[in-house]
Amino acid sequence: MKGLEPTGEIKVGVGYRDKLGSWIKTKPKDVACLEITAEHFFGRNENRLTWLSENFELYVHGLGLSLGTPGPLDAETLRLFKRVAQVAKPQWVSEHIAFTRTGTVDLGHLNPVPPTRQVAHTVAAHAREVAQVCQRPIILENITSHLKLTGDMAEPDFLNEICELGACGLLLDVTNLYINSRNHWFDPLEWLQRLDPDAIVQLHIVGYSRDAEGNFTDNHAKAVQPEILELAQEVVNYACGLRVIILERDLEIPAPSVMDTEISQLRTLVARRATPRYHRRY
Amino acid sequence: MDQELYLRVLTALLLNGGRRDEFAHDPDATLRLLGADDAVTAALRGLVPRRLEEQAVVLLRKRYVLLPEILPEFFERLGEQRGWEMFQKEARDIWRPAEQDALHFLTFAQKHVAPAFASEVEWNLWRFLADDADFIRLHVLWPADRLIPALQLLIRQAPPGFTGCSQLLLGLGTQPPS
Repeated sequence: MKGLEPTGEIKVGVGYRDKLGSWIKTKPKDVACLEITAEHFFGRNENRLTWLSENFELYVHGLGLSLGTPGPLDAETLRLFKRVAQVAKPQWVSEHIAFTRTGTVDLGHLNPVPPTRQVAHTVAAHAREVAQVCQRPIILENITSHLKLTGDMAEPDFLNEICELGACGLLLDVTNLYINSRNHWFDPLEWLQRLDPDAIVQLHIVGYSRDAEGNFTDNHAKAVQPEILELAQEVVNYACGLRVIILERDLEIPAPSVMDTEISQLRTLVARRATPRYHRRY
Repeated sequence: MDQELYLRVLTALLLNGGRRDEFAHDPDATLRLLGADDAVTAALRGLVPRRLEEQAVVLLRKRYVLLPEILPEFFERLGEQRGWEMFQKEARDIWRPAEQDALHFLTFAQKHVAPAFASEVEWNLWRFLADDADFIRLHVLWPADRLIPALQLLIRQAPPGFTGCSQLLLGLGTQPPS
């Protein structure tokens, strides 16, 4: 895909949050790039965004474009998203394979869409529109959900179909894959090996949590566990097109030294990367 | 399949606990009640009620975490966990935007559970935002530890509704009235 070709280099960065601001201002040497959340800069904080773009390679990640909702994208959200992309100048933008609103209700959170060819066309068409409006490639992320919707495709095939139809890449959230595999009882490696390895451009990684009922949850509050690192190593080895790995953390933000350690662990994954085999599905 | 209808029906289930209870008892009847056609009914009847509930709680929690930002004094007094338990009871069956959640939850808490926790300043502010009547409103507050009253001046910034206002507090400092 134009603009998403592998470069041979895999950068490791973090998801920028205000709470990390003072650490980020020190320009930590091992943070090669930042991913910003577009909605945090909608109509505000443009000076901060400008500073970030002047000092870091940025990637813009959206939460609320609701690509899975049929019908036109919300024009105002798209306008604000485009403005953030203009200031941040990312190599690509990203969003989720999900819906966050219907025609009348904004649910305020990512919800799954059924894995069907029809929905793949809807998501892909919206992805193409966002890429065209922002004048940049787009990559899409797999979400985690307690709800498992059924359709006429397996989830990895659904993701491949969207990437192909939408001319977009995949932002593979390794933690979401792990969580879904534990909550919905499937083998994450089998799931992974059905994906087009060329489509995986970026990864998200964070520790999982457990709720009172024992479910695995994704509240971005924990350090990355060894089992997540183990799965991430498999993904890094598999993904031919991989270019960026982003460490996420929203809650219980640790001391900078702990963040440095986690980044170092992710850099080790890259250093240990086995030469990617040629896995193309075709 | 009508994708829009599918998402509308799924959303209705996610946002209404009563409907989820009915779905667990009789999926087809509930889906019909929500306007699902045959294709949408066939696609959604297999949802696992426990999983549906768990996803709904995630959405409810997302609504809840916005409230301490809107009602900081109230939640400081009430406590996060107690607030979450109360909010699940109050809001499980209904979806509203965050500002309306704040006012309804404050009203619920005042009336049923913990009147002492509500802050008069926050209460005045949210009643003003919910009430379309006035462009400007002045409240005289009597903090228990002061001899002189404090003043709270509220000025509407935009058309009526939950669209924001300016607030000026005179004589309170950073301490809320008790």
